[in-house]
Order: sequence, then structure tokens, then C-alpha cells
Amino acid sequence: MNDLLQFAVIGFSTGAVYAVLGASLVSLHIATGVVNFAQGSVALWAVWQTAALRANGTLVLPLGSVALGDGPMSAWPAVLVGATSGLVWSLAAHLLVFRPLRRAPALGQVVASVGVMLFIQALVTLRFDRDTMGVDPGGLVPLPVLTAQTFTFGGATIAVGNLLLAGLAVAAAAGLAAYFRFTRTGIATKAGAEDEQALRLMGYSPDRLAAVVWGATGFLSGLTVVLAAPAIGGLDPVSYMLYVVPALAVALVGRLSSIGVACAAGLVLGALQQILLFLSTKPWWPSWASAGVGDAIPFVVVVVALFLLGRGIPERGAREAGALPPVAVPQLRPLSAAAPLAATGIAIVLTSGQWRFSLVMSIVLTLVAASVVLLTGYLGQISLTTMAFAGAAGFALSKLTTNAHVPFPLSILLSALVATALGIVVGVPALRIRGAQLAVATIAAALAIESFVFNNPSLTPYTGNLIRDPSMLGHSLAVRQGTDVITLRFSFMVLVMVAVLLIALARLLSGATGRAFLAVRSNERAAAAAGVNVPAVKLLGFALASFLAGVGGCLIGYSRGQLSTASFTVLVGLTVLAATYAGGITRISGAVVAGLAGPLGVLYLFCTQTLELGKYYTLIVAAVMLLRVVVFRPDRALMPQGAARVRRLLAPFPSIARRHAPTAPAGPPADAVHEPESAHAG
Amino acid sequence: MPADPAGRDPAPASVPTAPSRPALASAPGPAPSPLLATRGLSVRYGGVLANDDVCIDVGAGEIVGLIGPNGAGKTTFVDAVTGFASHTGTIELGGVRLDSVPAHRRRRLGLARTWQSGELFTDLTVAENLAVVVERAGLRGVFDDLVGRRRRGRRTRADPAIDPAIDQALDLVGLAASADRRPEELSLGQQKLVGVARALVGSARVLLLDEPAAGLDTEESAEFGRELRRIAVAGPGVLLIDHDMALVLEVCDRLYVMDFGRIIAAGTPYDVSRDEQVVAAYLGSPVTP
Ligand SMILES: Nc1ncnc2c1ncn2[C@@H]1O[C@H](COP(=O)(O)OP(=O)(O)OP(=O)(O)O)[C@@H](O)[C@H]1O
Ligand SMILES: [Mg+2]
Repeated sequence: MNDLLQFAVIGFSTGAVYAVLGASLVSLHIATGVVNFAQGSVALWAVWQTAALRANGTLVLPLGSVALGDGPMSAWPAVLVGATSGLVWSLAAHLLVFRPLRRAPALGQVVASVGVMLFIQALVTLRFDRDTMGVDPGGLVPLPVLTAQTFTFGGATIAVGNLLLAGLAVAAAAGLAAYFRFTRTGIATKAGAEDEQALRLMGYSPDRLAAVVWGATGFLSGLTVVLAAPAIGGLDPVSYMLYVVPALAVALVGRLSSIGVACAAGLVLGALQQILLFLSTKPWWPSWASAGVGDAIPFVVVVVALFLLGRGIPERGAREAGALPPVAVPQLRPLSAAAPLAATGIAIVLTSGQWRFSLVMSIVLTLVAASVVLLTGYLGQISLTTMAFAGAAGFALSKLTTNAHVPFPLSILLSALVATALGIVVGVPALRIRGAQLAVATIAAALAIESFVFNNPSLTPYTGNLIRDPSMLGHSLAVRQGTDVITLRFSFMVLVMVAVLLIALARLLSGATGRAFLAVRSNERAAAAAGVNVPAVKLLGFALASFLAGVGGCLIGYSRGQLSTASFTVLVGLTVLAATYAGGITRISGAVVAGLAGPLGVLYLFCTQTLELGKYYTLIVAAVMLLRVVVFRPDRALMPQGAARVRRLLAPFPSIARRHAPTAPAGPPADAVHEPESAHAG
Repeated sequence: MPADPAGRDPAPASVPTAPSRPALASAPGPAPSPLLATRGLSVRYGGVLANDDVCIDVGAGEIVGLIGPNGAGKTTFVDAVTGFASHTGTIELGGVRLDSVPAHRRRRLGLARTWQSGELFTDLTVAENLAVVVERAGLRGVFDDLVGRRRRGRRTRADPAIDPAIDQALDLVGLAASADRRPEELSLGQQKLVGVARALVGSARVLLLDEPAAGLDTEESAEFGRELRRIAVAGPGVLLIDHDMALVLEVCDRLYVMDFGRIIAAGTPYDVSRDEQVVAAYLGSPVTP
């Protein structure tokens, strides 16, 4: 019992972070309707900023840096400057990204916040290095700020610092809640989220009101994480970014509308994780579950919360998804499929070594991105689990080929079916939730799979999860042969497999399945009223998408000879989604772009080898994607007028005109096409 | 809840004339067993009783009107019948209880609706909007799509063969020429008609039309009325909700009047338009059919 109390209080340090991030997420949602996946990244920057100040007094800026005095800065000023950097990032995100996207569809907002999340994270890795911090950042730990005092209470040793953190979390949440409840501007902000027009009539600027909340939440998130970091431990360039996942979970427990509940849930979650961590050291705890439990809980919390919160079919008056990127239905013409295929084949033959390897990686990534096109572009389900599905299939492949000696084509099929089963399970929450909330559930699932399966030592032999080279009919299809890092045979095996699957996908998307997907995406209620079994169609989408991703994961696995968990992290998954969105999430050609630009693809190699910009890669992808989301929005026609005019000019040539139809969402004005009703007579 | 509407609680005392109850019984009614029958249907939204003990019958080949002021609960009734609002009471289609059947199954059993606000699939062409009803997505659909056993006569963008049912339905509402257009390219009135065609296609037995003629001008509305008659002659029962009294009085065989979630009158258009309560609650002044 004493132990439990002691560990619960230890958990308050992470709990405070969840609580404040969660309360911030709820506040932002109340004020702007945005679910901000970048909240953790903002805090991540603040932690590093504070560390830099306390290391050598440097204020690190995205470009350049300023020395604030010579030598290390003292604790509290550094904390304040660090927290303020969170405020600045938060405001910048508001002004540059979220304000322009105020009325964008949920998908655009989610992708944008993922973009901000990746952008800041990539910038942290780049900017906080030996040059700016004066020391090797790898060896740094966050220096303590709060008191190290402890006292004993009922036999448990309690750290005063942890209680202070919990107090800070409660105070921050109370402050935010009071702002919305008792101040005129706060009340106006809350009201304005529903009726912006009324807000303007009252003389408020919605942007300025939103800016207050963005700034405050950025500051509070930064402050809390900076203060909690010494108790939590390490200073690495990723972890605090992903603290947004449990924070999103507790925000959902608060139904994205109760700051108090989110705060309480955050503290409880932190305590619970610590208690579980303690219990998992006990001899009776199953060894397979000793790693990753902490990361699995948020997913459980999310699923339970969302299932209670969600509705099978959106009610009348529910917030509409808004305009989505227009769809280009694939048109299968032998030539249009054969030409890129032949070109890719030639490219495989002409390249060798690293270049051929990244070309093959690009082909595989195209398949993975195509699964995003299917699930998110066509069916409208924002899933951040794609890479985890791929990894799960790779994991199954390792077990199937090394333990059960399943032969080559069958091994891929079975492994992909494992991913399919997992996809259906992860798809179940989608039956009741949609939009950004689904994105939250799926990122929590991805994190749970990553830490519970890929990084679980008891599931991984000490040699790593090896994968036996494929062979068929006595011919080896192994990726390596002698000094050849990637054989022609292997490359063509990948090309054929991906091409077949993409052609199959194009047929699906242009057929009844694609139409049902689009019907569900554009209007679930109307789809159900048209006789479409919406839950079944959604699960079908998840099954197909995870199958495609699973095959991709197997091909990645075969190309490495073992399961490389680094290929399947949440971060890689987010990058793939971002690249697919930038390439065009509603068309297969968008998947090809994502394949070329995705992690370890051709563009990546080009960045590293030719331009020597490898370390800027994530930053570039995130920036391009943000530009695409904010400036060149795919849900808007670039030149609606021009497109309409082109169509009218093409009208005499129906086949061409029709092909251009999907790209011209704004057709000629309604009255121009209004047919005289008398023209028909039964 | 007794099945006989006449056996319900008497009307509130504040209602002086109650010709509605007998009228319901004596109206030139549907066939002995109506195709669609609701009994004691009630829907509650928070504190609002949006439908209160509603009993409505729609027979085969019959056009039944449901009228009432804004917020009376007409759309709520359609929502409840088609499976989009949880309710108490019973709904039967051809003698089969539908109360716990999910919305998409009700559609496949022949209960089709349109939406007051259109709710077309904006990413699909007009013909594809209808195709979604005719086709069945699922594992079978995946198989068909992959192996190329395209059902004869299906229309896709790539494969312009025309499903006769789709074309027939579009013809009935006069939109055959717009089959390959996007909904947003059509006028609001035409979009409503696409909704009607989407409800018609694929063996609909009862059509619940929620203000299908809103957005049509007088001329078009009259033409729509004639189309509706042709549709009903072919067999399906129609429940028509509309504020266009000329249309409603012209085409409907029987009328129900709803106010504050209750049916306050029922009968022939002639009787109803003379009912004092109806005049007071909705019409404002007597209207002649
Ligand atoms: N989802 C909902 N939640 C709460 N109340 C609702 C909901 N839908 C409808 N209502 C309420 O139920 C009542 C009936 O509304 P309904 O839309 O059915 O009326 P209607 O007769 O169709 O009106 P109109 O002629 O304007 O279309 C109204 O008071 C409305 O506010
Ligand atoms: Mg209505």
C-alpha cells in the first residue's frame, strides 16, 4: 500500500505533464475547434531551450542564436525564457498555420498540426547541437529546478517536487477553466467558437481571442514540462513530442470540453502508469507484458472514452466534415499503367547499390502511401496507424519465416493478413468516432503497438527479429548477393508485387467499392439511408488498407533481412501521412509522389547524397507539407474560374472534358446548366 | 399502446372540434393492411417531445401528405421511421416490424427517404449517387471489382454502360441528361430531384419525401406533382412532406397534419383544409384544393 502511494506520487510528474497538455488541448478545442497534435512539440522546444540556457546561456532561434550573458543562466530565468519560447511557438502556429485553416476540413487541420509537430521536432534536432549548446547534447540531462526535499507519510517517501507539480497542474487547469467561465473575453471566446458572426458583432476579433488561448496554453505547457523534465528524466529529441498522445487521451476523457476532467484524468493516468510500472517488476507479472504497458494504457483509455462518447451515425446538426480534397477516380488504361511501370523497370536496371535500394524503398512506400489514399483519401478515415500495421506484418513475417519456415509468397500473404486483423481491431473505434478524434485513437494505437510489440524485449530474441530471405521454386529472391546490396531479382519481385496491388487498388477505387467509400466519406447518414452498411464499409476499408500496408511492411522486412523497428515508428508513420497529403491524398499518383519523397526513398537519398542535406530531410518534408496544407490547399481548386473555363472549352470533346471533371469542383454556375424541365416527358 | 388510433386518449379539452379522430377512421383509407404503419411513435430530444404518439399509415400506390408548421416534427418522424432517431412505438413495413432494424437494412427492405437538405454524395456524379444504392459494397463487391465481373449494365466513369434502373429513375425525375454531372453543378431544385431519384431506385416500396419540391418554381412543382402520381401508380406508397399547399392538396390522397409533434388532423385534402384546428395551427386561411 505504501508502495502504491509512493509510486502514485512519483507518477504525478508525468501526470502533471499529461494534465496540463490535456487541459491545453481542451482549451484550444473550446476556443478554435482544433485538436493540436503539436502541443507536445511546443513543450519539447521549451525543455531544450531551458537546457541550452542553463548549459551556456544561449537563446536558440530557428535561425541563429543569441547569447544572453556569458555562461549558464540561473534556474528560474531560464525556466521563464523556456516557457516563453513555448508561448512564441504556439502563437506562431496560430498565426501561420491554424488561423488560415480556421474553416478547413478536419483532415486538413489534423495534417497541419501533424506538420507543425514534425516541423518543431525536426528543428529541435537541428538547432540544439554542440554548436549552440557548447556541449554534446547527448550527454545532457535537465537540471533540477524544484526542491529535492522529501518527507515520509505513512511509510511512503514523498517528493515535495512532485506534489508541487501536481499543484501546478491543478492551478493551470483552474486558471484556464476560470478564464472561460468568469472573464468576458473567455466567455466570448467560448461563444465565438460556435458563432463567429455574433462575436464580430459584439466587437471582438475571433483571431485575437484565439491568440490569447494559443499563447497561454503554449506557455503553460512549456512551463510544466520544463519543471517536470528533471523528475521524468532524459532529454531526448522525441519523447516530449509524443507526450501529446496520452495528453490527447485525457483530453478525450474530458470530452474535449471539460478542462477539469482532463486535468484530473491526466494526474490519474500518470499515477496509474507509474503504479503499473512498479507492479510489472513483481514476479507474478507476466513477462511478455512487462514492457510497453505504460504506452498501451492511453490507447485503452482512448478507446473506452471514445466509445462512450461517440455515436454510430452523426446526428442532425453534427459538425460537418467540411469540404474535402476532390477525388480523382483512377482510370485504368493499359498504356497509362504500363508506361510508368516500364520506366521504373528501366530505372531499376540502370541503377545499382544505394540508389537502387532507395528506388525499391520508394516503390514499397508507394504501396504504403496507397493504403493511406484508400483509407484517408477515399474513405475519409484519418488513420495514423499505417506504419504500425506495416511493422506488425513485418513482425509476423519474422516469426513465420524463422520459427515456422513458411515459404515465400505465402509468408507475405499470412503476415499481411495478421496486419489485416489488427487493422480491423483498430478500425472498430472508427465505427463511433470520426475526424480528429479518430486520428487521436489511431495515433494512440500506433504508439501502443510500437512499444508493446516492436520494442518489447520479451517478444524479440536477442539476435533481433530476423527474417529469412525469400526464395521461390529453388531460386533465391534474396535482397543481397555477395557485394550486391540489392539484387535485380529482389527489385523486380517488389516491383511486380506492388504493381499488381496498385492495379487491383485502382480497380477497387473505380468500382462499387470506391463509390461506397466516397459515399461514406461525403455523408454517412445519406450513405446509410442509401442502403450502405456504413460500419461494414469502414471495417472493409481498414482491412484493405492494413493489408496493403502489411504487404509493404513485409517487403521492407525482406529488404533488411530483419524487422527494423526504426522503419515503423510513429514518427515515420506521421511523415508518410504528411508526404501522402502533400502528394495528393485522393489519388494514386499522390501515393507515388509520397513514395518518392518518403523516408529512405529516392528524394531522401538525393537530399543526403547529392545535396548533403540529409539532416534537413524531415524539416523539408514537414515544411513542404505545411505549405501544401495552408497555402496550396487541396480542398480548394487552385483556379476555380480557370478550371471551369477549361471545362467549357472542352465540352465538345466529352471524353477529355469528363477526365477533367474531378479537378473542377466549382462547375459553371447553377443557372447556366439548368435544364428546361419541360424537355422531359416521362 | 393500442393499435387502433381511435382508442387513444381523447384530444385535449382545449380542442373544441375534433373531427380529426373520426376523420382518420372514415378517411378513404388505405388498403386493410397498409404498407407502412406506425403506432404510438414517440421521439424525445432532451426535453422536447418532437413526436408524440404518432400513428400514420401509408398504403401501396397511395400518396399521403404530412403537413404542419416549422418545427412540428415532420422531419423527426421521417428520421424515426428510417432509423435515424431513437424512438418508442412500433413501425411496420408490409407487416414486418422494423423498430430495431438498422437504417441501411430498412432501405434494403424498401423504405427509402429523401433529405430536407439534399445530402447528396458530393464526390459522385448524379448517376453514381444512384449506383451506390443499386450496388452492394462488401467482400462480394471487392471480388466483383477485382475480377472484373462487372454486373451487366453498370455505369461507371470508366465504363459508361447504363444500369437500366438508374436511367429509369433519372428519367422519371427528368434528369437523365444530367447523369454525368456533379450535384453541385445542378440547381437546388434539381439536387432535390436527384435525391428523389436516389430514393426511387432499387425497389423502393415506400418513399418518404422530405420537402422534395422546395427549390422548384410553381411550374416545376406542378410537373413534379404529375411525376409523383406516375410514380405512385407504379406501386410504391409515398409520404410527402411539403409546405407547398397547392402541390400537397393537388396530389395527395390523404393528409395528416402535425403540430407540436402530435397528429392534430387527418383525412382527405378537402376535409383537412376546412378543419378549424388546422386552419388555426397552420394554414392561416382556408385553402381550396
Ligand atoms: N437532433 C435534435 N436534437 C434536439 N432537438 C431536435 C433535433 N432534431 C429536431 N429537434 C427538434 O424537434 C422539433 C421538430 O423538428 P423537425 O425538424 O422534425 O420539424 P419539421 O416539422 O421537420 O420542421 P420544418 O418544417 O422546419 O422542416 C424541433 O423543435 C426541433 O428543434
Ligand atoms: Mg423538416
